Formats: sequence, C-alpha cells, structure tokens
Amino acid sequence: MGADVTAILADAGSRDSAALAQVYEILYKELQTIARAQLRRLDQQTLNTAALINESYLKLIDNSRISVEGRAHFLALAARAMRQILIDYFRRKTAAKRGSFIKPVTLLEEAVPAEQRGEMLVALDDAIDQLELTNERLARVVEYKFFGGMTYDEIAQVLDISARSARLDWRKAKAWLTLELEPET
Amino acid sequence: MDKQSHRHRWKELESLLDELLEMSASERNQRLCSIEQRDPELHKTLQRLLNAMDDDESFLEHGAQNIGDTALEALAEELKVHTRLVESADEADGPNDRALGKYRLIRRLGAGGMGEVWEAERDDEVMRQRVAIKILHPLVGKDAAQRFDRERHILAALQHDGIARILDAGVATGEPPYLVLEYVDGMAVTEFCRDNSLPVRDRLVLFLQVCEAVAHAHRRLVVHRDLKPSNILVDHRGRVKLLDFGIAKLLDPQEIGAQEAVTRVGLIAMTPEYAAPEQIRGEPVTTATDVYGLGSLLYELLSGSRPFDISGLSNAELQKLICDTAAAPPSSKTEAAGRADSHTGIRRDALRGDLDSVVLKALEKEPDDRYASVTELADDIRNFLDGRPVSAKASTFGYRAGKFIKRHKLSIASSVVAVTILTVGLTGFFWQAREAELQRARFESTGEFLFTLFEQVDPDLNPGSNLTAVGLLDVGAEQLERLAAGPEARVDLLRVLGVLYSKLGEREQSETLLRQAVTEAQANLPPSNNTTGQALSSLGRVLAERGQLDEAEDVQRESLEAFRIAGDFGRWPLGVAGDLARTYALQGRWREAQTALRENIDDHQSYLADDPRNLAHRSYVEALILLGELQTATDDWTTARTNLELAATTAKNSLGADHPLLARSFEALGNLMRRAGNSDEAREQLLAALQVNQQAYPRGHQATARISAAIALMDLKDGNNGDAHELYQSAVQLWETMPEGTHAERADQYEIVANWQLSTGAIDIALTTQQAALYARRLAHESLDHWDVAAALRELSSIQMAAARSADAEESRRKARAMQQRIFGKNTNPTSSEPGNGR
Repeated sequence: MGADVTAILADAGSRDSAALAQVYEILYKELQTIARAQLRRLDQQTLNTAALINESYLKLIDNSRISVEGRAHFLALAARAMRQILIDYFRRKTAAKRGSFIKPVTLLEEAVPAEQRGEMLVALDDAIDQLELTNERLARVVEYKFFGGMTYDEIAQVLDISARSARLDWRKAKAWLTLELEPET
Repeated sequence: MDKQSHRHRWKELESLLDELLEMSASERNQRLCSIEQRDPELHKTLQRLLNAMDDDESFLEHGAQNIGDTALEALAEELKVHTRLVESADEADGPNDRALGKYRLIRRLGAGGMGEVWEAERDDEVMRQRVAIKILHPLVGKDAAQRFDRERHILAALQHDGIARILDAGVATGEPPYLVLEYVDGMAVTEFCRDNSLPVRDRLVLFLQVCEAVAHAHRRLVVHRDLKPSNILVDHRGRVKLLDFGIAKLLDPQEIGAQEAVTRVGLIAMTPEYAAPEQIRGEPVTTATDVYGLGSLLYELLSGSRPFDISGLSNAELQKLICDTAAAPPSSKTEAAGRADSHTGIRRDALRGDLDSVVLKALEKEPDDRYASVTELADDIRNFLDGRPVSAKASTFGYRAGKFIKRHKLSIASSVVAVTILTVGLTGFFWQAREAELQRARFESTGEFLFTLFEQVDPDLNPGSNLTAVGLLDVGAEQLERLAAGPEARVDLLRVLGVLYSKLGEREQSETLLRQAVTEAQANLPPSNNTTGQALSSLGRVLAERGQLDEAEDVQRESLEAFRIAGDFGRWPLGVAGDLARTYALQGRWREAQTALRENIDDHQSYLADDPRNLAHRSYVEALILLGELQTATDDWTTARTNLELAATTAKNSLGADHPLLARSFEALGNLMRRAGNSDEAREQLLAALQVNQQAYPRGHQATARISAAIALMDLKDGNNGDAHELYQSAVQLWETMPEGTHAERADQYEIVANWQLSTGAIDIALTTQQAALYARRLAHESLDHWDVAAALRELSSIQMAAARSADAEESRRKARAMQQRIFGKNTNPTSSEPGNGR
C-alpha cells in the first residue's frame, strides 16, 4: 500500500484526480488508524494532528523514492483528510446537540465540555468553503497550514507558487477570515 | 458590514490590501490617511484587516491541534471506543478478536445515541452464558464510569423474574463503559398482544405482570423512568421481561447535578412520546413517573394507539400537549361503538367506564393526582377483573372532595415535614413538602431505610446476590444523600454506616461519613442530645485506628464533654473513656493508660453493680483485657492474670459462653502464660480461646486462624511436630476459604506465616513473606508511624539476621527504632516490650 502511494505521488506527471482520490482514501483510513494507535499508546488523552500526519507519512511513503514535491503533495492530502476527520466529528456532535427533542432517542448524548471550540472549528470549515468560492487558492492555503501544519515552502510546492506568495496568501486569508468569522463590533 | 456584503466587497478590499502591502511603511500611512478622509468606514475595515494579517497570535496560527484540546480529547475518547468496536467487528480473524472483557461479541442487535447493543457470549471456565451487552458512548459523561460502578450495585439487587438482570459492568479505564444484561428473546408487549389478538382480560393479566416487576423495583428504590413497549418484552411462553431498568437514570443529566443541562430539553434522557409531564418539565422523577409510564402502556395495550400523537409537533407544542392537555379516553380511540376495533379486536364498550377511568387516573398530569403507587394501580386492575368497583372511578366523581382529603392526609401523615417546618420556616415549606413527598414513597422511616438496605443481601430474598458488604454500604451511603430524615436520624445513620465501613476496613470512607455525622450533629442538634457525643465517639475510634492518635485524643475528650453537657453518664461515655485509655496506650503513654483504665474499670463496676444484663459489660470487659495486656507487657504478671481472669468470668456470665470477647480474654491469658514461660497453661488457654471462637464464628474467622497458628507455633517449638503441622494447616485452610481481609488482617496472616516458615527453616521464603507483611502493615496504617509497623520491621530484622543478611537486618532495626522513638517521643517506656494488640 505504501509503495502505491509513493508511486502515485512520485510520478509528478500522473497527478490525475482518480489516483489522488485513491491516495486520499488510503490516507484517511491510515490517519484514523494512527490516531487510534496514538491514543492507545500510554493512555494519551489528546491528539497531536501534526504528529499524526507525520506518522502517516513515515508509514505510507518511501522517503528515498519521493521528491520534495511529492512529499508536499502528500502533506496537502493529509491536511485535507485531517480536516475531514475533525469536521465530520464535530458536525456530528453539533447535529446531535441541535437534534430535535422529537427525535426518539432513548438516551442522551451529552455535550462535550468546551463545546464552543468544536463549534468554532465547524464555523471555520464553513468559512473555508466560502473562501473557496471567492479565492480557491487562499482556501487551500488555510487548509494546508491550519489542518496540515505545513510550512510556506511546502505549501508553495503544492500550489506551484513562491514561498513569498504562500505567505502573502496566508495573511490575506487571515484578513478574509476575520471578516467572515468576527463580525464588526 | 455583514458577511454577505463583505464577500461582495472582497475584490475591492483585496486589491487595496495588495496595493498597501507593496508600499513602504510611510507610503502606506499616507495612503491610509487619505482613505480615512474619504471613507472613514473603509479605513476602519482596512485597519482591522491589516491588524489581522499581522496578528501572529491569532488562533489560526496555532493550527487545528491547539484549537480545542478539550474538544479533541472528546474526539480521542470516541475514537478509542470506536477502535475497539470497529476492530472487534471488522477484524473477525478469530473469535477472540471480538471480545470485551470476558465476553465475546456475536452480533450487533442495535445502535443508538447511547452506544451499541450486542448479543454476546461468556464462555470460560466459570460459565457459559448468552448475554446482551450495552456498550456506552463515552460521551455520556466524564464520570459515567464512577456513577456506573455505584449504580450497578443498586441495579444488581433487582432480582425478579420479570426484570432482565444486570449481570456485570465494565468500568475499567481505557475501555468503553459497558453493561452486561440478561439476554431476552422475546417481542415487544404491544406486538405480542396484536399478533395473538389477545382479549382484554389477557392483556390486563399481562399488564399485571408488568406492574409486579415495576413494584418490585420500586420497593428497592429503583425507578425505571423510561417504560415503553420496546422495553417490555414477552417471551414465547408469555412471560414478561422488563429491560433497561434504571438505566435511563445512569445517563440523566439531572442526576449528575448539572443544573444547566436540565434546561436543555434536548438532553433529557427519555423517549418524548412516553415521557411524563414532570420529565418534560425537568422536574424530579419519582415512582409516580413509572405510574404514568404504565398508564401510557395500558392505554396503548387497550386502544392500539398512544395517548398523544406527537408526530410533526414542535418542542413547544409537544410540551403543551403532554403537560397541559388531558388525554382522550382510550375508548374514544377504538372504532365506532358496537364493533370490534380492527387493530386490537377490542370493542369500545369494553373500555368505556372503569378502564377509561383507571388509565386516565394513571395519566394525570400532576404526580400527586395519580395512583400513589404501582400496587394501587394493579389493585384497581384486579378490582376490575374481579368485578369490583375501581377506585379511580370514585375519584372522578368526588374529585374536589377527594383531592382535599388527600392533601389533608399528606400534611398530617408526614411528621418529618411537620418537624422541619418549625425549624426551616415558611420559605422552606414548599420545598420541604415536595422533597418529603418525593421521599415518602421511598422511605417510610429510617427503619425501613435500613431494612431495605439489608434486604439486598438477604440470601432468602436475593439468592446469589453478588453485592459485597462494601457495595451494600455504598448503596446505603448514596441513598442517605437523598434521605430527607430528621437531623437526629441522619446523624445516627451516618454514624452507623461510618462504623460499618470501618469494620470492613474502608477507613477513609468511614472517616468521611463520621466527620459529616459530627458536623451535622454539632450544627443541627441541641446540646442536650447525646447523639453528638455518640458521633464523636465513633469518629474517635476510627481516627485511632487510622493512627491519627492526637486528633483521636481530642475527639474523644470532646465526646466525653458532649456527654457530660447532655447529662448522659451511661454506658456510652464509659466506653469512650475506655477508648481514650486505649489511645494513650497506642501513643505509648502506658502509665497514663493504666491509670485511666483502672479508673474506667471502677466506674464500670459502680455503674454495672446491680444489672448483670447491662450492655456496658462489653466495654467493661474490653477495659479489663486492655489493662491485662498492658500489665503483661510491663511484666506485672500477677495483676495481669487477675484482671484477665476477671475479664473471662465477666464475659462468660454477662456476654455468653460463645462471645468473641470471651475468646479474646482467653487469648490474652494464653499470651500472658506464654510470656511467663508457662507453655502448658498457655496452650490450654489458647485452646479454650479457639473453642469459643469456633462457636462464635462457626464458619471461621481471622481470630480462629490466628489462634490456631499461635498454638501450632508453640507446638513446633516444643517439638510436637505432628500436632503443629495439623493445626497450622487448619489455619491455612481457613485463610483460603475466607474472603480477603483488611490490610491489617492480611498483615497478621503474613506475620504468622513468616514466623512459621522461619521456624521450619524456610528462611528465604520467610523473608519474602515478612516483607509482604510489612507492606500490608504500612497499607493498614496508611504509611504513618505505628507501633505495629515498627513491630513488623523488628520482625523483618530478625529474619534478615537469620538469613545472614546482617546489613539489611541492621537497617531494619534502625528504622524500627526510629519509628518507635517518633511514636513514643518523650513517653518512651522503660521496657522494651510492646502492648498486646487490641485488634
């Protein structure tokens, strides 16, 4: 499995969407597995998203056969998968919380503490979707940096821009998100 | 600027920002100034955005990982559980992969908001059993595991053929909490009635089975709170089984005490269609809630439809319907008069009148207006079946009058309420009255409280109850929290539970309860009440046991003072004075202890003078034994013998020939003789002690084993090997059959075993055993300095010496000596010997 992923990513030219979708699938599952493993280890209580992605990289990628660019693409996919995992979870939670009283549930699902933090994450996810409509590249930058913990150089590799542009994009994205998430007082 | 408009203006803002970012700082300021003059609003926005762009502390900079550690924790929890579930379901390589605890998961029966239900099997050396396992969602609350552990003891006490048993619960850390339930193969009661086209009478008989099971649970203080057809199954033989008894409570936010959760309707743990008005209103759930649930069920059984149709209603509408709108009589839901209903096959006129009244009475909005208990509801059904008038009907006619009488009756009946009104005043009245009403159904009196508590371990009522004694106390302590008894009764119950905990070795819990007893006594009871002194006395004992001798001394003095103020000079203060003397002895103040004991013995003698059956004989004998033991230790053998023989005679005459204190007297005499070098008489006394003990505890006791082993050791030293081994083996066998004792009891065992091993030459093993003894001793005394710990260290030292490990031996001896000096301080005794322990 690892070899396939490396091969797909190593072949810079073959970046067709079907192949990438396949990598994404693998990655998504792998991240969940690693997350579980991480949690089992030493009774760890929190997830370290950056470490998760790093570990999935080591597991799925043959580093000797992959280019810097390939690595960056992998990280970008991982960032996307991480976003998906986190947001799926919090959306479910938020839905459960809003869930109608009418819904014939026998037993409650109690709100997690610090719930609004999850809500913030969900709001951010919505905002990124909105940003994508306005400026797709800015949205990708936020995704890579926020959910994938990628560096400007890595982001630049994936988006085929300069690192300086990546940094500027990030700053602009922050401006945009400020407007979206923090209504003027 | 709202979200929509900023999205539209973004192009303009973006190009301005691009422009500004290209500029030098001074150019930028200039440009911003000119914008400010032209369009102050735009300037404000731009400034804000520029600040945001340079904000390196923004939450966005920290990434998802830090956004919500707590939220991620919850995710982590969920993943953990799902891992196990998914792994167990997906990776079905071998049967052992799909397991939870002792149970092998077979197939998933269902999943819901609370988690999943699996059919599972236990198949090990112990038993083979098909079960249902409820695996709970970890999000049911952080303390779910603890509450679970507590509640399952209560639920485990529900042993009724009509209730699916809770067999086990998994609350280990790192595992999802799960409940193991009896597997029930059956169909929902409503389906059963429909499929078999049961006539009204049979439906009612089935319903009575349900009532009986619910009434059983109510007697054990458990409310179902989610009665509905899917929780009430009927097997192929027509026997009813109730599922999920009390489980809703485990997950009810109101029970967790989270007040804000109550207001969030979405979190109420129940099925809204079957919820009682008080549940919708977020009010406390009582047995009356189950009466409502049963009314709802009966409604459906008789008419084929539910009392309220809630489909498509908003929360507010639903609330109004259930809380304010009276249900239509069940008969109105059947098809036109004269014809059998096509669903139920029941005719309208069969329901009209009595049955309508019964159902509607159970469905009253106000809990007070319903049947007062499930039994009353069942009685009315039986009235109907036997052709007698039903009580529900009467109440419809004379509604107002009946209601008045009922209220009147309540205020007279609850004397507890009457007393509290005087102290609490009018503001507290309504609250108190409601509280009392809540508790009324549960505890008629404190006597009943204890009765129901002990019923749970009554082998006749609950054969095979696996509730441990400590579990029972936990149940009691928890019930006590909710008990609205008078202050004196509360203090008394707290004290009794506290004392029982200490007897079971749960000293920390004991101390907590006893401290609470003292606090409540001092706050709520008048000085003339001797309950305060009693609470202090029990606290003093436990403190002394825990090695907190200085505080024990203070508390015991305080207790004596409380009794003096209350004018009580009876057996209680006499006992406390003896306890105080024991505390002196433990502190190493042997002279003071002996003086106090002599005085205490004199006081006992004048108090007991004319009354051979007086209960104070106990503390009298205890004082005599302790004085005898102290005198033995200080080599005052003649007086010791006089006192111990007096103890034995008194115990025999006043307490009985099979009393443990008689055995203790003989044992102390035996130890005296052994110390005095008279091994023949020592053996005789110890055998006498053994004999009494065997009568006192036919099934064996720590003391029985201890004495047997002591005799065995004497025999071994006297070269009487055969008898020695036999006796020693009997002690070992006894230990094996006994439940694991307290730390102190285990330390006793280990010390005896180590002594035996040393005497039989198994020196290395003896060393290990004595180390275990020391460890248990430390646990028993919570790592505090204690005479027994020092003694265990000295013993270890001599075994180390025997094992030729002289450096270790020296170290142990040094530690023992240091501890001894810390304990005794200035009170160091002239002799090197120790007082016999008074355990």
